[in-house]
Amino acid sequence: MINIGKDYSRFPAGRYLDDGNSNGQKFRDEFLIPALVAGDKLRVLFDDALGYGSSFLEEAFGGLVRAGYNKKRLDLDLELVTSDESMKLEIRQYISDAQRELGSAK
Amino acid sequence: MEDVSLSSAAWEAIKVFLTSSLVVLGWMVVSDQQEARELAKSRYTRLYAIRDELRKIENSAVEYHTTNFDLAKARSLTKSIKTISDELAYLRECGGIAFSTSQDVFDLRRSITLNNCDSESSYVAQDLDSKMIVEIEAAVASIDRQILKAAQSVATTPRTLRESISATLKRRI
Repeated sequence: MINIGKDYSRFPAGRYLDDGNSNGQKFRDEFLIPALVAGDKLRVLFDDALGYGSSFLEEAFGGLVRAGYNKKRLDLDLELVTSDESMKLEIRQYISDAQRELGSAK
Repeated sequence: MEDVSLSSAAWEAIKVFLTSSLVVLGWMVVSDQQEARELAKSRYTRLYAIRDELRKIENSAVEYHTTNFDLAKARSLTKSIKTISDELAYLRECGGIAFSTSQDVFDLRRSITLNNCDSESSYVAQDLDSKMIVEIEAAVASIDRQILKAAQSVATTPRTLRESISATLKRRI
């Protein structure tokens, strides 16, 4: 389980490593991917952070697809825990969009 | 003779009981109607306050994206969007609004924070008629329309007598 607000940053923001210490790329590479590699279902808790920028969400979660995780696997292995339904919708959309872009790029 | 007076006494007791019950029920219904009016007023006020907050977010977002990179402003926008999202979700949970705002909040957050909010080096000041600004305004307008409809519904839908009696009986029994 990863609690973003407690384990990573109270204010995750930015997309790439150059964008600050709490960026999406770092979160994906140092938290999400190692947890997914470890196996089992990954629960990610969102509600302890003060807010999320869409660029962070897209890079962290859409970026999982670009890093080799397909949407089907993420639908099964990634559980998004938040009271904010709009954010769940948004993250699932970024994963779908990334999968579609990957598909059309081939 | 005795049977008749017993029957009269019983009938009198029943009449008193029925009258008292009607009075108590009537009082409870009036009380429920008053509570419902207060709740509707409170929800109406809250919905209009959310409309104001949305306008502030829109103005702040347009100013941010058309002037210069400002990390504090970008963070403030992100927090404000979360607050609005939480408020709308709470209103939905307690019956203040009947519709889901998830897609609209998603569109709002994406229009404001997907681009131009990461660093000074990647920031590009937008024109007022740019795609980004138009998307922000469209996202705000969409939520605002729904909230306005909800506010009008709250203001114009009275609590019926049947609803009051039903709510009163459910609460008390």
